[in-house]
Amino acid sequence: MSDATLERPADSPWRQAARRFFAHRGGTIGLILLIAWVVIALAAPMIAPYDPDMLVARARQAPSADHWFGTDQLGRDVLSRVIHGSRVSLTLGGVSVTFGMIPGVILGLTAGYLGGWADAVISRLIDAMLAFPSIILALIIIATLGPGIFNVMIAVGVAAIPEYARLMRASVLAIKSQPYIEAARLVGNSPFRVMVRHVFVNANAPLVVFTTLQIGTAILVGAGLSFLGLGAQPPTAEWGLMSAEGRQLLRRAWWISAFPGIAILTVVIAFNLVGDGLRAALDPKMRLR
Amino acid sequence: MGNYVLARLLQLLPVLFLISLIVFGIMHLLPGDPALLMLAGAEGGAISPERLAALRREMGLDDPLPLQFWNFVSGAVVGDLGTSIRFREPVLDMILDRLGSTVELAVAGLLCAMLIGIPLGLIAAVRQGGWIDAFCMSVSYLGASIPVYWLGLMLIFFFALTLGWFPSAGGGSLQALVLPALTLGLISAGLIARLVRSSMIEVLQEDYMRTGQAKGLPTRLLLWRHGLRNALIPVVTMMGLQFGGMLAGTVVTETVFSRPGVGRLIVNAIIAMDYPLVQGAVLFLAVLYVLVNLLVDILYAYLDPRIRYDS
Repeated sequence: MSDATLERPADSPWRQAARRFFAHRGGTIGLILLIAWVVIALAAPMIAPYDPDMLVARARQAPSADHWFGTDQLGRDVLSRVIHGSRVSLTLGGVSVTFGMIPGVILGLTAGYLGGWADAVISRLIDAMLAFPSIILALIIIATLGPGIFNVMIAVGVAAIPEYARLMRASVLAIKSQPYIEAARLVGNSPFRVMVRHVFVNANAPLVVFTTLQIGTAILVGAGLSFLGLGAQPPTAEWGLMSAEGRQLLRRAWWISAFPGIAILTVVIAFNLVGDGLRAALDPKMRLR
Repeated sequence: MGNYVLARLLQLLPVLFLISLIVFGIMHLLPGDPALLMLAGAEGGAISPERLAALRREMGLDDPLPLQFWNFVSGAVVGDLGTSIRFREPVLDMILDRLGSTVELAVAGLLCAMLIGIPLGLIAAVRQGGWIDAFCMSVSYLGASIPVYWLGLMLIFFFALTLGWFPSAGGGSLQALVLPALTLGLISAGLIARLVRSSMIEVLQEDYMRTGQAKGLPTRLLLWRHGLRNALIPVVTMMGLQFGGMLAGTVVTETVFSRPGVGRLIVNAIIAMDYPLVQGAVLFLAVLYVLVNLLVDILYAYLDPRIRYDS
């Protein structure tokens, strides 16, 4: 029996991680849900039954066979608008996370790897930025840049910089003292090369998990800001804005506000499930919270 | 203990300085001219250079940045957060007028979260692996994935418009507080339930719990007196962070329920491009958040004798 296990070629780490991911039921469900949304976003013009910006029927019609999600306050098809809204929200998630990740990772990597005064300065700055609830930080940035969906992406991203920096710094500190890092340095690699090729590559598992969860958070916060009138502007088909437009008509036409919210809920749940699945896959030691 | 509190207060000074630097820095160093945006928001159309220059002078935007920062910080220290451009009122007075309503909402939200989250987490831990456990985890998932404004709208639809139990908007009465507090509370209840659950599961495996069971303590007494008390220690730490989250959550909740409060004040100030008001109110909220966290830390040290505060 032991012969058999010895002869079997070792699985690649990627395959092992994939197996652990798909053993996690939530992660698998999340991934399917996520793929479905990405397909919907990419194929929106083909899937949507109507043009999202056209007045196609009487206003405020209840859900029916012709209009599954009803029509909105102007007579646009809510289902078509929800389908097109996925493009805005998924873009927002991806773009804003990039705005947060790149500076955050650079700051955290620098602070953790260099230590000394660089660490002292960056850590103080991170602490102070963490003193703001992230939506407040996002609000100040929007106040300066002015309302708009692209500015919301910047604001939500920048608000995540301190969390990225803290996360990266912590994983770098854990890895820095490993023998292979010292070995990489001793064979003559430049500090920059050690930092990028050896420290970063080994420290990025928590980063992948956090980023997945953060995309969900960014979509939630971004939609919230659009709901407040600070993000997407009419007539954009954006989920937060759509809920805001239906707010005054809640009694007579609940569907205008309700369906965009359900859409966000399913997208964010998908990212959270995939994030947990990735956590189980990439770091088996890490306990599920 | 006195020394510990003093030390923590001293540590606070550099943090407060950095907070004001960040608020100031973001609002003054990012591209975009506050005066220009404000005029465009207020008047639209063509903006005369004279009006712009006058407003820049009035807002002090032509002073060198370090001087502007000094004016901002030295004012803030003595409680002068500037004057709202739109309302011509001192910013601090406007905040204090609305602070009561916001704190009331945040406290009520936290109370709701605890009243729902703690029992849920407790039951889930005791019945680990059962359907209540599964339910608890699902609720916590939903809480982390639901848009706050949407939950608020749905609660309004069911409990205010359909059933007519509570008013759908406004502030001032206890009745009007229920739905907004529930909106905020449900969002974090799941998080608290998760935390209580994992903390309780650890406590259940402690030796003193087995001792209690062995000497024949009634289960309910054992769980309440010995289990929950120890399980709640990490939850207390969480409360400070949660309270900050509640303060931030009021920004959206107050708008959904048309409650007068600091959060709604900030949102309206941003839309109206009222810079001094945004700057002052944001600084105020951030400082409040830091102070609440400090208070929780001190309270925690006071409650848990294992934390030493002499060093």
